[in-house]
This record gives sequence, structure tokens and C-alpha cells, in this order.
Amino acid sequence: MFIRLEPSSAVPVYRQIVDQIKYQVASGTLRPGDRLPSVRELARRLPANQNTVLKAYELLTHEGLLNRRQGDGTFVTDTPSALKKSERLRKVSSILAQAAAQAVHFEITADELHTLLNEEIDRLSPGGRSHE
Amino acid sequence: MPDNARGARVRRQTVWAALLRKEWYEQRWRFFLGTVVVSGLLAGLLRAQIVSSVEAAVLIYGPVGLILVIFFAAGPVSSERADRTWEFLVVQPVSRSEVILAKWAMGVVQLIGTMVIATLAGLLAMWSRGIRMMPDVSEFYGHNAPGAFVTWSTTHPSLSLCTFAIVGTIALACWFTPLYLLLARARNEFAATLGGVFLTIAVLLWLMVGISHARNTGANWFATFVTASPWVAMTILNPISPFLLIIAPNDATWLPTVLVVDVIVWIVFPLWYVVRSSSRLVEKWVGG
Amino acid sequence: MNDSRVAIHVENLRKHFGQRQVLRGVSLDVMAGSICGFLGLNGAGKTTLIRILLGLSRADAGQCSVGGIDPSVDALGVRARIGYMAENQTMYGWMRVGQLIEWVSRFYPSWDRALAASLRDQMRLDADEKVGALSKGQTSRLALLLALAHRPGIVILDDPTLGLDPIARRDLLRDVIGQLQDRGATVFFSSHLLYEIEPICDRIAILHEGRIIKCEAVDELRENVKRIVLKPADAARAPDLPGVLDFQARDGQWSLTVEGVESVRPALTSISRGGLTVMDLNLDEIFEAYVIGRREVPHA
Repeated sequence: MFIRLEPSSAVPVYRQIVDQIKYQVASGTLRPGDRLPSVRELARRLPANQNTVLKAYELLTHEGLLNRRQGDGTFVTDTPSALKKSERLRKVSSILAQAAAQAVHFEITADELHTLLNEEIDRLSPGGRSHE
Repeated sequence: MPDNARGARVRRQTVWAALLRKEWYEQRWRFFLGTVVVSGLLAGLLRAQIVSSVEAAVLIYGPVGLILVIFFAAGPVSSERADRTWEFLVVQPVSRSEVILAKWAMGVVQLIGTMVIATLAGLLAMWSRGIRMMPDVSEFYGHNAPGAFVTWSTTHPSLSLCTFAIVGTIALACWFTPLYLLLARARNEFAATLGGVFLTIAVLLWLMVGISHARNTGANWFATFVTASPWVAMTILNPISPFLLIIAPNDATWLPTVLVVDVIVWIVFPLWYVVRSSSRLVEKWVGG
Repeated sequence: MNDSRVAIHVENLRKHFGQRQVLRGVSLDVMAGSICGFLGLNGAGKTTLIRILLGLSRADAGQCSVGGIDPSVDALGVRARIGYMAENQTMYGWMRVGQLIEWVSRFYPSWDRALAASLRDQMRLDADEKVGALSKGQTSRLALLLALAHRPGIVILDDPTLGLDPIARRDLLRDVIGQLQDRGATVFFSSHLLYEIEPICDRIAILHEGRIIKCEAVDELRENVKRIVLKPADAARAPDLPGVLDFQARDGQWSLTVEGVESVRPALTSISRGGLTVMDLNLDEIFEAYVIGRREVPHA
């Protein structure tokens, strides 16, 4: 699993790890059942503080994306997200709010935005976690 | 716990051994260079008989010995500072006292070692020419010649050389300690050497004041220095001796006392102080 | 404080050099097993503080303890139990790597030869090579080896990546995580490369003008310190704003870096034409705001 930390980023390190793992799962790079490197391994690789990596893993576990099995390791779950639909909608909508603001600023219409969104989803769909 | 105390002592001994070994490896070139130069000089002078054995001894255990002392004293601490390895050394679990003391010990040992080997070389050179009578030195020294000593040096040149060697080496070692401690503050070897030269000349001038007083020969300090050579050689660079020379200029019996006082003041006391003190003063003095 | 969870405890340290007061009451606690980054401008006193912790220098006032030992009382005890790596340390160039390791091992009762040998392999250092012939990266790896081989519980690193190429820097940081955090050692780490040490640290301490002005977990720092950009209404008078670290005004816009957005949000919203833009900052910007930020908010 390849994760890249952006130096001098305004995004906290744990957030970067979370986002990248999420993206990899969504795009199919990481499939359900895949084993993630251990906290120690990933921490050494990046390099980053083990607690930071742990925080990222725990957040993803809480959101249902990962599953930590004692002694075995951390795996991508094959069950749908444990979060309620409303929560999931809320998380996505906050990102979309930013996109909407940009679109208005760049004078991009709602239809054009829809097209772009569909393109992105199609790009991810082939191997990724699709709608249920 | 007795175990801990013993363990602690063993650890300090290991540390000491490590420090001394490192000093030897690092500074042994000084020893070899010094030994070769001084031995060669003394042996050469005695064999070629350019000067009398007494004068050769005075030269070697006097001015040349002084240069050697500066060479040994100015090097160890200041070269370490200049190379910046001083910070690396001091950051280890050693006190600055131990570091200074180890360098001092190695310096003294090398100094004494060089003089011993030089003396042996000198003796060999003398024997290779046969032990012979010295020219009548009383002519050379004129009325200032210390009578008994002249007889001694002419009848037993080897023994007189050895006497010079012992007394001279002790005297040089006495100058080594304060010079070393003073120069330990220097930041590089060149500055330390320069400082050593200045300090040595200053003390020599001070000595000559005392001698000149004692001899009442007025302004001709160099002649005074040369004619007083045997005494100078024995008490060279002893800051106390000018006083004694003023008090009792022609009396040789104060010599042993002076030597003992020298050894106590310039070797034993500084050692004791550095070893027993809380080393705070050493830290302040040496810094870094 | 005798809490055994505190590895390094510093209380009100003061130190002056001649006329200059370098440390003006530094207080800090580094928890056992944590990695604490130590930031400050050049000449802020970072090295002075570290030297006091090592017992190489004596504070004028205040106290500190490292691993439970007071360095002003037992400096050798402190140095025997902690690992230290300085910037640009010059080691004996004439010794060979193996010799140097052997020599240094004599000073440390807890030296682990097997660990030293394995570290030497890992760091790809040749035992027969002269220390003077090593590259900068190899030298710093060797220095790190010497700091780690006696298994210290606390490691102090003073700008260890100075002068290293990016690959060597990364290797060193990997070793810090891999060798030290793994064992639960405490790391106290001063550096100028904020973007590099931020991912490594649990907490950040900022030393400025002789005092620790901030000592906080990295994520909390990022949460608390944000930049607010707004376009104030004409002739707006700046209200009383607590926690402003830096204020900039340009082309009719205000940019405030604040500690605690919520405490100023209402006041700023009331004077803003349009809304507020709240931006996240990286550690460099946060650090800048703390040490060179302009605190004064002009009132009209």
C-alpha cells in the first residue's frame, strides 16, 4: 500500500492517511479482505508517529472501513459501512459544499457539475465499492 | 550496596583505561618525534664533543626541554578543541576532570619517557667515546664555578649527566603541570603553543631576575644565565627559586628542599585538586 | 513533580551568558515514551537548554530532572542513561568505525554489543572504514548508533538532520520511529525542518524569547490555530479579540491567525462584509505566527 504524506500540508497527517486509504478502497486499489501494513510498519515507512497511524486506523475502523483483528492485523472490511446513511450523506455533502462554491465561482452550471461527478464515479466504479 | 560501589569503581577504571589508551594512540607521534629529536641532539652533542657534557646537559634539560614541555603541554587539549572532537568527548559519561587528568597523565609520562630515553642515548654516546676526563671547567666558569660540583662533574661525567637528567626532568615536569592547565583554555594548538612560548619566556626572565640579583652581575643577564647554568638547570622554571637565590645564592643545600616543594606544589597538589574537587572549577576553567 | 510518567521535567530554568538572558524561566514536561519536537528560532536557547539537561552547563535558577536524575547533581548518571546526538558532531577521524564503537562502549555500563553490531549492519557501516572517510550521512548514522546502542530510555537529538541530504534525513527519521518509538523510548528532538518532524512528533514545544510559549499535541495545535480572512466593513473598528497571534491587512482585507476560532467568530462576523473564511494552517505557518506574528490589531 502506497501512502504519500504531503510535506508542509495544511491537512493533518492522520487526515492524509485516512483520506488516502479511503481513496484506495474506493478506487479498488485496496480490495475487501486486503491486509494493511501494521501500525509499526506503516509508521516506519512514511515515516510518521505510530500514534498518528494508529489514530488513522482507529478512525477508519470506527467508520467501518477497516477491521482490526487481534494478532492477525488490519484488514479492509467487506461489509458495507457501519455508519448510518444519514451520517454518510452528511460527510459527503460537506465536501460537495466546497465543490459547489468553486463551481459557482468558476461559473460552472449544475448540469456540468453533474457530468463531472458522474465521470468521477465511473472512474472509481469498475473495482470499487459501489452503491448498495 | 558494596556490589554497586565496586561495580562503579570498575566502571571508572574502564573509563580511565579507555581515555588513556585513546590519548596514547592519538599523541604517540609527539612521543616518537620528541624522543628522536632530543635523543639525537644530546647523543650528537656528547659524541661530537662540541660542548662539554655539562653544557650539553644544560642545553637539553634546559631550553630544549622547555620546548619539549611546550610541545607536550600545548597539544592534547587544544588540538582536540580545534578538531571539534572535544564536544564529542565531553558529551560522554565522563567528567571534564577525568579528561583533563588523563591527558595530563599521558603528557607527563611521555615527557619523562622522552627524557629517560634521551639520557640513555646520551650515556651511550659518552661511553662510545670512552668515559674520559672533562676539560677543566673551572677555567670556563671562572670564579663563579661551584667548586664541589665541578669536581663531581669532571670525575663522574656519567653520573653527573644522570643527576642533571633526574633533577632536570623533575623540574621540567613541574613546569609541565601549570603550563598545561593554563594552556587548556586555548582554542587551538597554534594559540596554545604561542601562549606556551610567551609564558615560558616570562618565567625565564623572572628567574633571571633572581639569578642576576644573586650574582650581582648587573645587566648582563645572558652571561649570568650561562654561568649559573648548573643551578638553572636544576631549578629551572621554578617560580620559587628566584626568591631562594636571593636569600642564599651560593648554598646548594636548599636544592633538595626546593625540588620537594616543586613536586608538591606543581604536581601533587594540582593532581589532588583535580581529582578530589567537585570538578566545577575544572569545568569553569576549561569550559566547552 | 515525581511522576514516573514524566521523562524530562524542566521547571523555571534561567540561564544568562554575560549580559544576555537566554533562558527566562523555561518549564516543560516530556512524557515517557512520547516524541516531543522542540522548535525555536536560531539562538532562541534550544542548545543551551539541552546542555543543561545533559549536565554540561549549569542553570542559574530553576530545576530539572532527566529520567529522575538531576543533571546538576549527577551529570555523569544522566549522560550514561540517555542517548544524545548533536548536530554535526565531529568524531575521531583517525579511528576506525569498529574501534570507535568499541571505545565508546567502555563509557556505558548498559552497552549492548549485539545491538551495536546489528545496528551497524542495518546502517550499512563498514567496521574497518576510518571514521574520517565516512560521508555525512554515514557519520550521522554512526552518531545515532552510538546514541542508541546502550539502550537508553531517553534520547535527545539536537538538530540531527542538519546538513544531511533528503535521503539521509529520511533514513534517520525512520530509525527514530523504528528503533526508538518501538521500544517506548522518550525522544526529545530539536529541528528546523518543521515539515519533516511534524509527522514524527506527538507534541511540539516552542521556545521563544527564553520561554516555552506553547507545548501541545500536534493535532490540537492544528485544531486550535487557524487563519481567518475577511473583508471588514469600511471604517470597521477592530473589536477586542482574544488569542490573535498575527494580524495582516492588505487591499482592504484582513487576515488574522488566531488561537481559538470560536472565541473571535462572533466579533469578526459582526464587522465583516460577507462571511469569514477559516483556513487550516501547516506547522510552519503556525510556528511563524507564534514567534514573529504581529499581535497588535489596529483599532480603527
